[in-house]
Amino acid sequence: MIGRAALFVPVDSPSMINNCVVFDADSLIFDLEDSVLIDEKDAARILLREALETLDFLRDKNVLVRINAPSTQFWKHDLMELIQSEVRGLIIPKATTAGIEAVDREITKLEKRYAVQHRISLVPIVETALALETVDQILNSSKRNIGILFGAEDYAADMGIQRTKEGEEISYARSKLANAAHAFGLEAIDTPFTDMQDTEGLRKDAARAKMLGMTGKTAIHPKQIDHIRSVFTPTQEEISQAFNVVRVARKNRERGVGTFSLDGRMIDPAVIARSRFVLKLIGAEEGSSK
Amino acid sequence: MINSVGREIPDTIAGFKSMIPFRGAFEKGGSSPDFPSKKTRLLQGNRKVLTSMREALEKVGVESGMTVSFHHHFRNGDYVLNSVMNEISKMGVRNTKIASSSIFPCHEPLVTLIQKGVVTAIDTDYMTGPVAQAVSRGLLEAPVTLRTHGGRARAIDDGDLHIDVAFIAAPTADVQGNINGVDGPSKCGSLGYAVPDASHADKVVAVTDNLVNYPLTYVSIDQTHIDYVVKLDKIGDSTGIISGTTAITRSPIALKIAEYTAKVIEASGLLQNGFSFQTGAGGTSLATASFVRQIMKERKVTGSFGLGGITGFFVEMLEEGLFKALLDVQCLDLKAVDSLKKDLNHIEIGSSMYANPRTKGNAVDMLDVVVLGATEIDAEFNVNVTTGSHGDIMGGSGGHGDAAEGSKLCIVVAPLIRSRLPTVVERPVTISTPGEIIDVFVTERGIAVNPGREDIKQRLVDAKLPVVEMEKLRDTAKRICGKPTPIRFKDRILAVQEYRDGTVIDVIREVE
Amino acid sequence: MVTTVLKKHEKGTRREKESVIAVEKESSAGKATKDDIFVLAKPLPKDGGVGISLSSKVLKLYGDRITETIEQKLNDLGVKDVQVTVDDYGALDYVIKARVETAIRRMRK
Repeated sequence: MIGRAALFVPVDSPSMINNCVVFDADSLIFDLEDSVLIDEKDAARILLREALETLDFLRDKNVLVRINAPSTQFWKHDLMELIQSEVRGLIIPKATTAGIEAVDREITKLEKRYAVQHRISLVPIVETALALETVDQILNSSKRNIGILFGAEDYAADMGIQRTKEGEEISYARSKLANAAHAFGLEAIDTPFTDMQDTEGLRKDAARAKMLGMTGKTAIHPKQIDHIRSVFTPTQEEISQAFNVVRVARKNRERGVGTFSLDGRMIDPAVIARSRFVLKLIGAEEGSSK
Repeated sequence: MINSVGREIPDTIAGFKSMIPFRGAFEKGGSSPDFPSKKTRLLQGNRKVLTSMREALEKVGVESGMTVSFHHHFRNGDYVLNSVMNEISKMGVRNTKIASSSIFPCHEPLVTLIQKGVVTAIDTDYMTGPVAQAVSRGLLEAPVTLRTHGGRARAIDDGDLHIDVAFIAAPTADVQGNINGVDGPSKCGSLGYAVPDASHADKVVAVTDNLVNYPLTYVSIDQTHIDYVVKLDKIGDSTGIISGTTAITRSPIALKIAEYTAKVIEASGLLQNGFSFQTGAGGTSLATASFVRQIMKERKVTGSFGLGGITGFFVEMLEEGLFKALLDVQCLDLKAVDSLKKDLNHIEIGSSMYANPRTKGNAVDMLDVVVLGATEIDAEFNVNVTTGSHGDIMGGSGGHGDAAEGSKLCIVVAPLIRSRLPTVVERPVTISTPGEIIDVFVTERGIAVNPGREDIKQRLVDAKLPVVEMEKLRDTAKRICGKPTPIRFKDRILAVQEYRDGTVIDVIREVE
Repeated sequence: MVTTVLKKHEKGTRREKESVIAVEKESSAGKATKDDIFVLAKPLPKDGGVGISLSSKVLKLYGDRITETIEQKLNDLGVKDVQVTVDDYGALDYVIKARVETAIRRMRK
């Protein structure tokens, strides 16, 4: 699960690795890609591996790692180093259909070789026009996919368009990704908001992404987390409705009934799945130490 | 007897005191043996103002074995202590006891004076820098006496700490010795910590770089206490003086701690009209104050007073009407200084009124909430603010024990780990403040409540705050940092940490 | 020949020494900043043994443990002839292990 707010943690900073669990992010994305200099890729990899092996306070968190893109020479080394640690999810930048397929194959190979017990999921980052255009192929290319991340800065560069705070230029991309994610039953995670001083702007940006159907957003600084979480947290009404739906659905399933009516609404499997997702989103909160 | 204006005065009246006939104005006959006075009379024409430190030292009769005192309102920008001690040294005086309310890195020249035997004893509330390091290495023969700010006032008032000569750095003084801290190039604001010295020292010398005509209109300490005024070119470095406050922290960990702390205060039920509050000047304290201010605004709470250690931040809260008054024993920045001068609701108080436990009422006893720091804390909530985990002296109680005891709710805040050093430990190197008066401990990884405060614990749990056991915090820190090599101590005692009432709460021994 | 270049880290953090490696000479890993440890590894002649020289912010309390951790890691890596010099700023064990391993791997490349 990626959740409402995913915090990027730069792996070259032991301080950040030590402290990242303190903030209420739903998931932590340890970054081996953009925040690590090329000369330090090896150091970052090893540091991350040691951290995951040793730090028990990371064990009960959703830990994902953004490895280097399949087009680089680094990603295979990243996988080798991480395969025996507890990482459950890998974020794949500059995703392409071929790239995701290659990663999937490599993981399967390594899982077998090292008898890895848990299943490793993938989250492709859509950052180019081609990736956006072929997102359904990307999502189909691996059964490991649990969601999509949107990388607006690289996408805009690829498109040759100007990035703005209002974000009108990425509306289509957000919609398309949210749509594709929903169609495949996956999470759709929005691009980071880069102005760290502008809290109001952050909330507006997150709200826009939510309105278009995205389910969460990445944070590049701990102080963004609470704002992002509150925007993407379902309302009290949505939560109680979801509880109801799931409860009644469970009873009906025992009686073999798939679709039913509740409070004047038609509840079909799609609605039930959405309700389960809502509960899962806040269920993540109930599991923490609060 | 006939007196000097020709009147018949009987020697005695039955059942009344014996009488001395008038001998002429200006006490021409000398002061009466029946009315002895420690204070000497200053007649018109006698000058208090001197232009050299040497002259002052000679006039007050400084000799070996004396206790001289200073205040620390100039923090690390102080020139006066070094200037006085330098002159004392040149005079060949030895075995001096320094009673300074705090000692800072700028007082490094004291190390040489200790080596030379000019200074052989120290009595202070707080010390850092080369002097503290030298003491930790065993340079000083006699143990240092460490007190709280309130305890120092008590000791001076009660006579435990007798001061021969008090040197009061005075940003502004008039020719008769009325002094204040709110004007002049070296202005520092409140002179609270100098008040007991001025009242009880045998001789008092004001040292200023801003001499004005009589009378000074804003008076912190008045002329009746001052023997001499020495005018120097510069008594302090203004950037060092006004350096007390930092900016609100940007560290995500510190902000988390501040956020939790403000929520603890809110959940405690004390954040009502009449609320009173004290906190420090560090980045985390300011962030906490900032969150508390937000909550007060939202809930439309009008506080009664802010206490301390006053920063520009508290001044803003006063000006916004969130507090009715500020009680100021020390100004930490320029904004506080200027507010003290202009605002009638910003009140200068002496250290006795601030925190002397043996006086007819002090400010800390009226306090609702105080937020304090800690270097170490144990599972019984005993706090160390005197030594580092490595055993060296780097601090001291300051106002810690006073505010902890006086306040209704004492919250200690700290990150769980500082550069591999756990804050929660099995056994603190020193106990400065006893656990029985520490109510809540806040870290970024959870909030611990003293078992004696079940009432608070329930409120925090109801507010869905992350309440944990202190033991769990301690074990988490130990697990993350690994087991350290135990520090071993020699028998020799380098310092004695007193509690505010003068009893000894711990001793600091030399590290092996 | 080893050239030592003093570079400012791109993100503006504190000083970072980087040795440009040529012909299996000394190499380094980590940074001299809070919670991290700067490790310098210099190859010694064959069977020259393992030497560790340590400076640390928490020397008194963790000096022994840091040395132990480094020794253990060098042992695990099968290193028999290296001089390791470290400048520690309160790094936890996992950071020490990682930096030592990185420095050794770089030395051997």
